[in-house]
Amino acid sequence: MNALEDRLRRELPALASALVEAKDDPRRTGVTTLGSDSVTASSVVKRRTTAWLSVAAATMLVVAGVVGLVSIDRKRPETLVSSIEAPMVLASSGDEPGTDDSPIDDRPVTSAVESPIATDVLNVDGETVRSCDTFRRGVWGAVSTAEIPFTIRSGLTVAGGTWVSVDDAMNRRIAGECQDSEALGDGAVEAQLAWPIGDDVYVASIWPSRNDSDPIPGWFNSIGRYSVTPLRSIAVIGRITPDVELPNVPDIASAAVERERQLIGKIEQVRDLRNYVSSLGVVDGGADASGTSASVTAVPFVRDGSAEEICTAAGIETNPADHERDGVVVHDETSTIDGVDTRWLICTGDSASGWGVTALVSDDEVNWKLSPLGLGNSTHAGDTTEVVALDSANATVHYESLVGGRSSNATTIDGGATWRIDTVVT
Amino acid sequence: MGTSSRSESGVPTDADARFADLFAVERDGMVRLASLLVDSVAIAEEVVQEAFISVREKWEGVDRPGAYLRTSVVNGCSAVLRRRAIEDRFQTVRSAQPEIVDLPIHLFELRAALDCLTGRQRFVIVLRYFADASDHEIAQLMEVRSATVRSLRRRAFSILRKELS
Repeated sequence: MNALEDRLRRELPALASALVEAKDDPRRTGVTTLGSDSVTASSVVKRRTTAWLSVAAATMLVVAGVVGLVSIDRKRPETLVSSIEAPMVLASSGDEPGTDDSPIDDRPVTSAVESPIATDVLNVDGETVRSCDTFRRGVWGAVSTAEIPFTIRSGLTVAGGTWVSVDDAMNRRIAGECQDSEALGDGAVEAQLAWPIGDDVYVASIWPSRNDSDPIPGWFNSIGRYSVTPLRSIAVIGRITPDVELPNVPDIASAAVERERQLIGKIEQVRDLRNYVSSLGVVDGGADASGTSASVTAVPFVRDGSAEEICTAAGIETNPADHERDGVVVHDETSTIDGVDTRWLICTGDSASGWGVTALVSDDEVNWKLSPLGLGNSTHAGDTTEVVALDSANATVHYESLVGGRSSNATTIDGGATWRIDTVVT
Repeated sequence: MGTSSRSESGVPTDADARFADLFAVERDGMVRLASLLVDSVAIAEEVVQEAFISVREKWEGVDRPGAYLRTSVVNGCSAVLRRRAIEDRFQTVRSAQPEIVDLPIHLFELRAALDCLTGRQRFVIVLRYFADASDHEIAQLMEVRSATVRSLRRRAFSILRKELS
């Protein structure tokens, strides 16, 4: 609660001042735009990553950074609109700039570009698109690095769909997607588009957070850079398909398709790698220039209930000083061998928490072997966790922190009683 | 020193001067407070204006004009939110919409999160963390028990934590 209190104390006066000052400044009213001069790649990500990754867990694992947020006026969803100018360097963590653990200061973030909108060529930010038939998907000219940074815009259509576009610094629409679809709230509306720049494929997405208790979901868009070159930057992109529409620039579209094919090939390589479980017989601590290794011995933990409840209880157990958080299920799998069911439950905390990854293993789903593996918080943007539970004894948790620049493998060969954690600085 | 304290010659009296001082010192802060409470600067300015008029009219009988002013502002905002709640229930469009303002993203998020609170929850949060009022003071301002204030704050935190996480 302290963090929230601190934030309220810090930001309520700022909000009051901003509201009052904006009233006297007509340039700052009329259109709800989220100026990127006050947005860093990282500041957005952390707050919205929980919901995003809860969706993405089923559909995509993202290694690259994510930028962007769609605003929503809950009272008037027809005014949903956003504008985020995304800097070129997208990889980031979810930390606020300037905070102690923020890596953002070390990263060259291209400054925002003023982007007055040319109403004659673009769907204006704030404009309600009647339907996708009237949505301009125009692309003018080839895309080059000179045109970045770019802006993500998105909004609703009267028909209840969504549109998302990526416009370059010259207000040319690099790519756009519009989807007349189901009404808000059913979780079906989303749009994604991808385009290549150099060796990278950029993917912009918009989708609602799935929250059953909220009939009007929070919306956010994201943009990620997926490089086809270094292996560790490969992401599983669940919803990107070769029929991404870039209708006016067929060469770019075909290039995008080709990039995606390459990505898919790399993804398969990653999947193959996941199946490797080292047979480590000795567990002890140590460190050298290339990384560290350590061991974690499980402690008994008794708890039944849903996976979420168990994760929350385990997180509180291991993080008593940060207890007002919710657990997040990273992986829940039951391995059966010789008639014995072994449940592997890998947890972390919500994105606002400082919880790391916790492994819980049980044969009866009540008595658990609890191992706080640390590693990081899987809900943080740019971090991925992949879990492979081979059988009742062997499992690996692979944690990749692109932003943190480290790659960790936590491995057990004794059913979660002990874990060896090897971390490599990448 | 009532409303008639201005001399017939039009020369400002001591009460006028002190009221002017109060206005100069408190007005901007009250507008900010009211803006957070009702999420509209225009409405906030109206509420504050009305509150100052009320203070001026009752100047002679008011021991602590600043406290009276704040109570008036809070009560005025409360009335606005009550009206708004009724409008939300029975009308499709509010008579007065909050201004759309270009805000930094973290403030935009905060504003949206505050919009998810009930009027009373919002009051508790704003009064506590913007006006730095104690639970006891908030209870007096809202004419509820301190326990109610704590309960409202807990619920508000639950919502804010969810919205801001």
